[in-house]
This record gives sequence, structure tokens and C-alpha cells, in this order.
Amino acid sequence: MAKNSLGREIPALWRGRALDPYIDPWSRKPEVLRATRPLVRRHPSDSKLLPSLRAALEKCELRNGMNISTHHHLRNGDLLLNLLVKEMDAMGLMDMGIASSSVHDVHAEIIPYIRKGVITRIETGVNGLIAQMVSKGELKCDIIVRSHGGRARSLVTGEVEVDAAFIAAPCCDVTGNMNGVHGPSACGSLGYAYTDARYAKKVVAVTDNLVRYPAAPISISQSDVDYVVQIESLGDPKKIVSTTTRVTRDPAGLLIAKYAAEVIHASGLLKDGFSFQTGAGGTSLAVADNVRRLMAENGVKGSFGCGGITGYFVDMLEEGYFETLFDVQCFDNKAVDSMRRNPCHREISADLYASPFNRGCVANMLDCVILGATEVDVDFNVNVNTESSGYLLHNTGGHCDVAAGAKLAIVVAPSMRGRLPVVRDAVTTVTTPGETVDVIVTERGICVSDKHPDLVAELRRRNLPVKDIRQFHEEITKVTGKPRPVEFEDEIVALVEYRDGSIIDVIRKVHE
Amino acid sequence: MRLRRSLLYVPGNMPGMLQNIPVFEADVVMIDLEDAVPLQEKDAARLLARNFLRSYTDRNKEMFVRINGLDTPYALDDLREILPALPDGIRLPKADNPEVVEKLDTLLTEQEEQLGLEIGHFKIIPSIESAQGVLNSVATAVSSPRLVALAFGAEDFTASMEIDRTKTGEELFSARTQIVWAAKAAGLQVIDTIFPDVNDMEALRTETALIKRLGFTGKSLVNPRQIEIIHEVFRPSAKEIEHALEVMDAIKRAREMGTGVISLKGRMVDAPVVTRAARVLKTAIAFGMIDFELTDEVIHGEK
Repeated sequence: MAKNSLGREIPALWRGRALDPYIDPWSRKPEVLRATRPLVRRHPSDSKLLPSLRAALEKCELRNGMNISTHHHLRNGDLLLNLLVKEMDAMGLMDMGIASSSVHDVHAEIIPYIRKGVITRIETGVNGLIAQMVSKGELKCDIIVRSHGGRARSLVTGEVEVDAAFIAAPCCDVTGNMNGVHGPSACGSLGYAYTDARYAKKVVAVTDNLVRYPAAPISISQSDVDYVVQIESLGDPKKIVSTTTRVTRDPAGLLIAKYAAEVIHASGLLKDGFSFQTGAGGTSLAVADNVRRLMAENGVKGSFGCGGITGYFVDMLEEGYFETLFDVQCFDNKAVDSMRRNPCHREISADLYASPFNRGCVANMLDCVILGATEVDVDFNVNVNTESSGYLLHNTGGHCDVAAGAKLAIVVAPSMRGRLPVVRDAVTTVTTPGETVDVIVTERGICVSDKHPDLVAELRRRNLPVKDIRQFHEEITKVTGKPRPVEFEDEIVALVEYRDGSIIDVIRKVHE
Repeated sequence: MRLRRSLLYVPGNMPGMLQNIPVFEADVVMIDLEDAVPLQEKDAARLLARNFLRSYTDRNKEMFVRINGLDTPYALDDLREILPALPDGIRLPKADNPEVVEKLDTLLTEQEEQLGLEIGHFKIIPSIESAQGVLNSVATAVSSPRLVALAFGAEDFTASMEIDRTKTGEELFSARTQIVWAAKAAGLQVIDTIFPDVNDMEALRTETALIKRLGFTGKSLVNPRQIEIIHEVFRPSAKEIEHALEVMDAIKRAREMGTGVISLKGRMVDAPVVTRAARVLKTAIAFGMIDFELTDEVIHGEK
């Protein structure tokens, strides 16, 4: 058991894997070539079309212990992963790993198959019930939490081998050309699946919308696809792009947003060429609303918006606030529609978006990003994976990737949730290291990292409530009291990988 | 001049909302023990409000408490619990006549004596909420030296008038003007009623602009989201400030020439114009928008 540079205890070995403790955001370098996949030759008369998922699973020659993957662009509307797990069970496969880009609440259907031993590992973060049950020790399933950039990296380096990738394709032809912008299950960008299409040993396109050759536009091309399967439905369209994306009405949330926008303005980054990322939550959108107002007032023309894209960003593109949107995931129908018709709304892969191990990702070009948190601590470390209950509940998404890449990473959060302070002595789990976080904005104060004395001076000049984070922590705990720490057992149920593959934290079983 | 543009009601029985009071930028917060609090929670609200006021020592705004009407069985308990926690003043509902205010004045004096405070420590903002209250407002405005403002409560007023309140508010026009006159004649600030639709920001802006034109100096409100718009409307515009400075400059030149009147861009500048300009500048100074030394001499000229 060694401590990493953030003081977290990391074992030398976990489930047979030697662990590399996190040191800092920058120094770990790749020492391998890109992973490879077998080359194949197709005769013009060969057909890729298979009659069923079962046939595809058999063709992929899956054996016990292998990994499959799906993408999560269909979010809580996704049916594919559940279907695949049931088929694998029917085939008698055991000890399989899920290396999907994310696992959601809708996948609680696979819980019985985890109990049965069909699934024993999830090579990505997990949202919701499965993760919570694993945290409680009610379910045995090894979880490695990876960011979007970190997942792309792990496929490209070969650390995670995907034996068969099943790509839900809302629009697809018989050769496997596909896109996400047409069809009843349209989800927009297929950004997360690009990496699977290029690095998985076998690639299966699964569609509920088989169109005449060629499917256009081509997002993922026939040259990467081994088989094509048509099924009745990929998912529930109402839940595919159902994230409610509205500006918050909560007065505290609006105040946070106003402060965050003031911080951006005060940073001096808000000038022509400004690039920006924000999430789909109500407060994040309120920040975008304020940023839009400031851009209008100051005549600023931005360069690009990035990340998961909402209708809100689409409006900003169409109104000329940005020249380009880089879209790894669409959050609503307006974004899907925009990507279909606007060539400046670009679909990008998770690798291009956020991987630390390539020749430069889009995240590195970001001026400013707005991020959320379940907890932050006095060293600016941020937790988005676990909550104060200690349960693993949320996936990392691009959090630690864009924090590392952007010039200014701003975390927005209410100062307390219910009766718990959001600022802690130490976060329960480190998702994103404090070295890459610049500002924490709450409705009661703004805390700025020591890296930015000029920003502190400018915020003070503007009469904004800048506070030292330790004093602020005391101020909040005066109101809430000091919560009793959650008790954990020794057993490690999940690893939290930093984007570079080192281990930034581990998640232990909660002592009930 | 103490700015009282925005007077935010916060229900006394909601701890989650009380704890956010320091955060919002209202000039005044009024913890409500009256209409927002159901009967079975009156005592809980009293205790919560008292405890909050006690712990809120580093105050960044004026704190008033809206007690229950003096004609209810709750008002005396309200005062007994709340006053030792030292609010800045009391918002008195149903101030239908000067006697109600006088009665509160006496109760406050008693408490001040008990607490060892200077007499007059607690201020009063009476709320005019009925036809009778409007008619008596002239007398009410001079009923106690503790008064800092008159407030108008349109929800109860329209009920007493047996009419509906509209978004455009024509039905309130007469009452509003009467209350403004009463307040101005007594040298008080004057606070308009709440705007109930918290989602219609444009209508709030229109109404606030209207009451500002009528002479109101501030507005009560029910949701923190309304603060910013009210402040925006009450903030003098850059154009108004520029004009006021020009007026001051013009009258200075006039006085140097030995006259009290001068033309500025084709319009006459004389004493009332200067007084109005001085008011804009006073507000701008209070908002911290300009740095300007505004003395009596600048406004009225050398004697």
C-alpha cells in the first residue's frame, strides 16, 4: 500500500493488475505504440449482414473472460447492452467484461447477470444503481472509473482490449457506414464510438434503420465495420435525448452563474476567439446565459464551444457567438438537428476531444470550462464520482480531462446540499486533482487557486466575494456543523483512474 | 441616504431560505411571520427567525421583521421573541390608521427600555393595505419618528376594495399616488407592493419603471430573482447622470454670471431642475456609480 501524491492509499496490485499511483497531471507519458487490430480482406460479394445479435456474438468468437463494448449516446433509452448481456448468458458465456463508454440506470437489468457471474467487470464508470450496490458490497463487480479521454486512451494504448464492439447505429447501410443524425433513434454525435470502431478486434454495427447504400453522411465508415445486424429498436427515443436542458430558476443557482460569468470576464479570457465548455445542468446553462450576455455587451466573437452540446449552444452558434461547435455528445433534439444540417457543428471522437495521449486534444484549446462537483476540498480537489454517502454514483465524464486542458477551470456548486457542506477538509473521492482546478464558485463566495493572484485582485476590485478557501470552509461548517465521516471497510470495490492511467483514488466498500 | 430599493420577504418558517439571506443582494430583508406562515407554524417561525437574527451578526443588509397584525393574538409574542435578537425594524401590516403605529411605537419603546437600547432604535415601516389605510395615510406618515418609509400592500388592498389586481395595475393608480404624496410630504421613503408573478420579468420591469416615475423609492419583493431588475430600474442611467452633471455645471456658470437661470441645450435650467439633478446625483453617489462632492452650496449656490 503506497500513498499517491494526493495522500490516497493505493495498493500495489488490484485484481492482478499492478497499479501506478498518481503523481501529477502531466508527467506520465505513453511508452507504447498504438494498439493494433487484425487486418482483414473482404471479397466484393461478401455480405456483412447477420440475422441476429446471437449470430453476431458467435461470429465475433467470444469466449469466457473477454470484453465487449457499447456506446452511451442513447443514454437511458439504450436497449442494446441489456440485449447483449442476455444473449451472452444464453450462450453460456461467463466472466465477461463491459468496456462501454458509460453504464446508466437503464442497465440495472443486467444486475441478475452480474450476480450469476456472466459479467464480472465494468471497465468504465457506472451511473446509478449498479454502482451503489457495488459500493454497499451487495454486488460483486470490479469497476474501473475512467474519464472520456481516459477511456479513449485506454483503448488506443491497448490497456483495455475490446474483443467486440457493438455500435448502436441510428442510420446504417449493409456495409456498416453509419451516422447518428437520421432515423427513429437519432442521437446525433457518435463521438464515443469512434475509438471502438478503430481499436476493437471486431466491430458490429447494430441498427434499427437499415438504409440503402450509402448511408450518408458517414460518421463511422464501412472500412472499420465487420458485421451489420438489424434489430427492431435500438431504444426508447423519449429517453435518448431527454435530458432537460433549461436554465435554472433557483435564485442561489442564478447567483452562482452570475459570479461564474464575472470570473470569466475578470480573467481577461473573454475576447475574440474565446472558447468555452459548459455542461447541461441548470446552473451551467445559466452561466452560458450570462456569458452570452457579456459577449454581446462586449462585442466578443468566440471561436468554438465544446463537449456535450445542448440547444443552448446551438443558439449561440447560430447567433454568431461561436464559429464552430465540437460535439462529442448531443444532449437534446435541437443539437441533433443542428448537427444534421450545420457543417460548423462538428462531430468529434472522444480521442480528439479529450485523450491525454495523442498529438493534441481539443480540451487543450479550451479557454474556459464550467464544471460541477459533489464535493470540493480545501486543496481544490474535486469529487464527482461519489457523494457524501460514500457510494459510487456518478461517472467522471470529461471532468478531469477538460480541467487539465482548459486555461481556466471553474467549478460551480452550491455551498451546501441539504444539510451538508460542499467544501470539505478532504473530498471523499478525488476525481479531478486540485492542481488542474482554478476557481470554485458558490453562492456565498468565490475561491481562487493560489496560481492566480491577478485574478483575485481583479475580483476584489469588482467587489465580488472572494474568500480564502480554508476560511470559507470554516464559514460554511459554522452553518452546517461538521458531518461525521463515512466509515469504509478495507475492501476496494472500484479504482478511479486519472486520465493518464495512473490511479488517483480508490473506492472502498461502505461500512453499513 | 440609505438605499431601500429592494425589500425581500423571506418566510420565517423556512430554515433553508433563512440561511440564504446573507447571500442575496437585496437592500432590506423582511423576515415574514405573517401571511407566509400558516397558523400552526407561527411559534416555530418566531424561534427560527430569532435564532437566525442572533447568529447573523455580520450583517450586510437591513433586517426587518414583518410581525402579525396588532389585532391578532400573535403580535405581542412576535415582538417579545424577535426584538432581543435586534432586527433593524418592524414592518407593520394593516397600518390602517395612525393609532396602530402609535401603539407599536409604545411597545417598541417598552422593549427598548427593557433591553437597554436607545429609544428609537427600532424603525417602523407601516404597510398601507386597505381603503381606510390609504385615506388615513397622511396622518399615518407623521404618526411616529420611527418611520423611515411608507409601504403599500396591494394584495390586501385589492381584497379590501373587492377588486382584482391586474398586471398593468390601473386599479392601483390612485392609491399609489396618495401614498406617495403622504410619504413625500412627511419626508419618508416610499415602498411599492410586491409583483406576484415571479416568472414575468418584463412585466416586473414595466411596473417598477412605472412606480419609479410615480415617486416610489423602492419595492417589496417575494423572490430573489426579482432583485436585479428592480436595482436596474432604480439605478440612474449613464445618460441621466451625464445630464445631471451638465445641469450642475450650467448652474455653476449661471451663478458666476450672477443669475439663477441658464439655458442648457435649449432647455431652461433653474432651481427645481437643479434639485432634480441633485437627486439623481445623490442616488448615483449612494450606488457608488460616481465620485462627486454634492454640498448644499453646489445645489443651492452661495448665500
